[in-house]
Amino acid sequence: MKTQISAFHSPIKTAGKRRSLFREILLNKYIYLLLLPGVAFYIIFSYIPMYGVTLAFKQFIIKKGILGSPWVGFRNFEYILGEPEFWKVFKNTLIISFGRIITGFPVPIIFAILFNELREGAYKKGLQTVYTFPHFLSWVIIAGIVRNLFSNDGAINNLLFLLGAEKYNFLASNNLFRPLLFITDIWKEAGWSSIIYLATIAGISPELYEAASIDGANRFQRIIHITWPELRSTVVLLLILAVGNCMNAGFDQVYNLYNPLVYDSGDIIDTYVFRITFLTNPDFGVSTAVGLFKSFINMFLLIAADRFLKLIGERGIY
Amino acid sequence: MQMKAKSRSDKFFDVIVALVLGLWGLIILYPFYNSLLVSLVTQETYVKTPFMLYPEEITFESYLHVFKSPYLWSGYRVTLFVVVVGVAYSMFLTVTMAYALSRKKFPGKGLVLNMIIVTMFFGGGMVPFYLLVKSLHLVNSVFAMIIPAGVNTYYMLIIRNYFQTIPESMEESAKMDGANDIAILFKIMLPLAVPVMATVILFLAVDRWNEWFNAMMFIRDSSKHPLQLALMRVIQDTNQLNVGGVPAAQQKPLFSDGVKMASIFVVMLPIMCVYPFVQKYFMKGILIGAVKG
Amino acid sequence: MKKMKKIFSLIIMAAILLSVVAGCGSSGNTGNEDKATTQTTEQNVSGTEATEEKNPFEKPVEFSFASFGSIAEDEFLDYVSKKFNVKIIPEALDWNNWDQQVNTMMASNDMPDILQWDHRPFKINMFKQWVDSEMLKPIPDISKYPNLKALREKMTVMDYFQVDGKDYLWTKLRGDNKWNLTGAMGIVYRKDWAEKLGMAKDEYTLEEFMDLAIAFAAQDPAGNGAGKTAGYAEVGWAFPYLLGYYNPYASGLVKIDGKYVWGATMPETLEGIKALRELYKAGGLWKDFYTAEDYDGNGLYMANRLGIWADNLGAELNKLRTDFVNANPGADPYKAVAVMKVRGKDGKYYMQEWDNTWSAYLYSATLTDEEMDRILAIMDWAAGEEGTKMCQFGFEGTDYEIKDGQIVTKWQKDEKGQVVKPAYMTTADAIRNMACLNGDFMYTDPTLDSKTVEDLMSLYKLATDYPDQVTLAKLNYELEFFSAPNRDKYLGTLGTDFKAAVMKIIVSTDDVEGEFNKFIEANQDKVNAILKELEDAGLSAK
Repeated sequence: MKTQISAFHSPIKTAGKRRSLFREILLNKYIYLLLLPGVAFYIIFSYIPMYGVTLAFKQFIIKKGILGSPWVGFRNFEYILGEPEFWKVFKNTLIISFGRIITGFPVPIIFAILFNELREGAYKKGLQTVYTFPHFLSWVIIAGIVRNLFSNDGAINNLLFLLGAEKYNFLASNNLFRPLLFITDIWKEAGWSSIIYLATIAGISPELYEAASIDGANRFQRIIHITWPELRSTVVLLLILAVGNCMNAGFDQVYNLYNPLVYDSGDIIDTYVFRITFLTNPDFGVSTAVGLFKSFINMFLLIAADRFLKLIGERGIY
Repeated sequence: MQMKAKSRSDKFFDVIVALVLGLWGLIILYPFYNSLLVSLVTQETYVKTPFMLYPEEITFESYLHVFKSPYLWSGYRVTLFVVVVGVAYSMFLTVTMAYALSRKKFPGKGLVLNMIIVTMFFGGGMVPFYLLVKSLHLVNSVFAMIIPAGVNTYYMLIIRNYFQTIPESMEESAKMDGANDIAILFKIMLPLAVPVMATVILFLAVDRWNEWFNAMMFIRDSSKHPLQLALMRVIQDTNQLNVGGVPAAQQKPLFSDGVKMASIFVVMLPIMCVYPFVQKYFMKGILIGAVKG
Repeated sequence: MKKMKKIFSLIIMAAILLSVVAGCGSSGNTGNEDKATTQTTEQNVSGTEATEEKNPFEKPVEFSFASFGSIAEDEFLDYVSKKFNVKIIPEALDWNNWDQQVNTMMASNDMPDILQWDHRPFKINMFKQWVDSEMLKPIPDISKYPNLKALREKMTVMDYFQVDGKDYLWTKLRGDNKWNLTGAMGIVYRKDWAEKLGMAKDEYTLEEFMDLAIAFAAQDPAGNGAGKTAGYAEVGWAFPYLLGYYNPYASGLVKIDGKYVWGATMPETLEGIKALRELYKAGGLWKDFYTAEDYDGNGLYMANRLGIWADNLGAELNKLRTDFVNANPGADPYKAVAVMKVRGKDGKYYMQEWDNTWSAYLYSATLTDEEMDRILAIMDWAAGEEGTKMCQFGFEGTDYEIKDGQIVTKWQKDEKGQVVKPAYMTTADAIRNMACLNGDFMYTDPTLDSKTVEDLMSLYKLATDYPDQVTLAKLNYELEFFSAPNRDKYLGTLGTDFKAAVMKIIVSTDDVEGEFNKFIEANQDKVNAILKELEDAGLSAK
């Protein structure tokens, strides 16, 4: 059992001798009570079915059930990881996920900060509402919009044609595909994601800002010294979680937006596996193995991000 | 609240901010506006001008088709139930856990935390999950959409994180007054965390409102299907599965894109009506009273 | 607020405990539950039965039926329920997640009584596992069901699915082609445009076809504006259909003189890809075909912006023509959506053989023999003369009447000229679908235009009437159902990868041969492995 040293060091509790374990438990009995329902939930719905993970190392024979199916070692892993193309899409997955974080992660934060600077009123409220709209569109529909804009027949190419320029096959370009992913992702989610940051800084008392401005601080200084510190821990947490989700580079989005011409830059693990298992006999063992592989990498990335951020002074998850 | 007169640079900044945010708002709005138009025109109009600025003539046939579908109203009812019960249930589990895990140290904290984080990555897959739901007699029950969706670890960590930023002095003084952990949670922590609570309640509500996957896998009875699933079925039917041979019952040809768009708005509208009420919790200075109290 | 929360949370805790403990499942039917029937009133079939015979439908039967048909509580369902003393509980399936639903249900041993399944051959191993796990009920002896027997004899694909000589699934006959296995893949075009350009012909050679496509795009007969008209497009899932005129077996393996060969390595394939590249560059092939969704080209056609369209005409021809008239009132559908006859380089028409079934039903092993019998009785009726008539035309008197031995429908047309059928006809459709698809309805469907039926019939009969004039891409059940490790892993994907490679080449490069060779090299090892397995199995000469 690790003991945590938190940023807020209470003078009262650490003075004095070590208590016995039993006393500690008794002292915190209400905490355990509060913990009980949640832990029960996780045990029932996450840990009881956990044995399914073993399928990654088994050949699933329905008659024998998961527990009775024979072990086949790493064969399921080899099925996918043994293909040279896999490592190419693995690289793509990492590049796209990190690119998404670099381009998309700051945007909701900036929105929240800017919104915070706006005066309260109908304009602010209305704008905030509008920002959440794209979150409710599915990627199928957004892909349709993208096609309407960028296809050979689309608005942008028609404009180019009108201006006398040559039409361009935007959607066939490997160079443009990743930026397309990043931009559409920002378009769809930035507004919705900014809500959590907005909520975090809503608690800041306006008097603080006033006091600061009386002291001569300008806008930027007020943002950096008052708004940002409030946001910081939430930003760090969400950043760590985003890094810990890297192996899932957005199947829905990529699947709806891509086409064979951009496989080189756009194919991610999930779309690749989808394609090569699409017309083959369904094999739960293989899909579990891929999932397990992704899980390990994700977990590794999360722990690394957590450690790294702790190193530079932030509070991590642990 | 009296604000000191703003400096010129401040005012200038204000205008820029309002403009930038407004511009982005327009970028978001146009495709949305276009989708709205598609839901309000006939197929002929759409096919001729997919990118129209204003509709020549409005028709409600897409919406009518959606509202006539057999499971739409039951869908609304089911979804409403799932949202109300589901959010209360999830919030209860999430907040208790988030608070408990935000406490500085107690025996077993690391263990529990690790246990939870592991579940963010590793899962048993569809088949064991199905068997579990079946053994809990949740198959074909609306509770299949509620109970297995108990705690969203992501949201839980966000709330926990926020609790961790509340100064310990508050907790200390309450403890000295004799309050136990549960009382602290309800009397001090929750009021201070109102914006984050409101956010997570909003997120949970929207998640439940959009729920369809569990229903698809576990609920066989169409009258218990949630709104999203009922609408997906409507769209599925408009695609007229012409499979194999000529379909005998040649239904009236339907404008499938129009129906798709109409169904989006049918789902979104109730949320958008509720959202302004949630917004007031994101207003500046909302916590002033709570802190002083 | 806080107190409310407390009370609320207590209620929720209690609710959870209750539901978990007391099994708060609802009254829905899950596949494995006891089939205790709810109907207590016994009902006799209407009095035309001979009274000496014991009523075969004496015991009420209930079963769940998961399919893509829509069954509603209406007059038709009522009729069927009373006639057979059954209660059918329809369950919905999700088209986009169909496979996942079925696979999960079967793997968890929780299937409805009847489950619709996509029975494509590459899934045979999973199917055999289901049989092995005793989850499926075999079809019993159907000699007392003459209509089903007749259907069974036509569906040879079921033989490949047999285990120990028994049928564990029931495939659904398409029925639209009475003469052979030719599928209805074909091409329609704007004959009116062709006439306008002075390029109208009865039949086209491949070159003339391509010239026409290029001309449509370049000369813009509908006046859409420069660059806004596309020449030729295909329904997405059929790509590369046109390549079939060069080599019908380009994407997979084909047996030539007893030996399996990779279609991609045949010289005709390269020739075809080069031609398609030229067609794309010259503007004949729709520029956006590689990003579009499957039926986007259809939309273009309706908007007068596409000249030639390849699609499953059996399912679509009538819809294409009616949709076109809807979108362009006053147009002549036979000229605007004319069936195109194209002859390949060998002077022959190109057609594809398709399996004559589409999707199948699995029957749960928990069904009793009696229940199975009842289901088969319904199926036999639906496939027989009387049932077919009812499922297609409705109730005599209300929906149709017999005049001079002919069926005359009483349905009216709406303002757009579409026949308006009562809502229960959808249920009727779904009921007939229990036995087979309704492709054969087209020969007697009053809502279907007779010229369209004629067009389709001539398409289907081509391979039988003029076999020497047709290049037929033949079905190869031997290869489809052959199972071996490399074949299972690589063959299906080979086809998809081929299509992706061709798409890429057509759109982006002039070095067709070089790029295509890269594809061949990348996959040669996999193909060799499959060929070796075929050799070892004795299916391919060494």
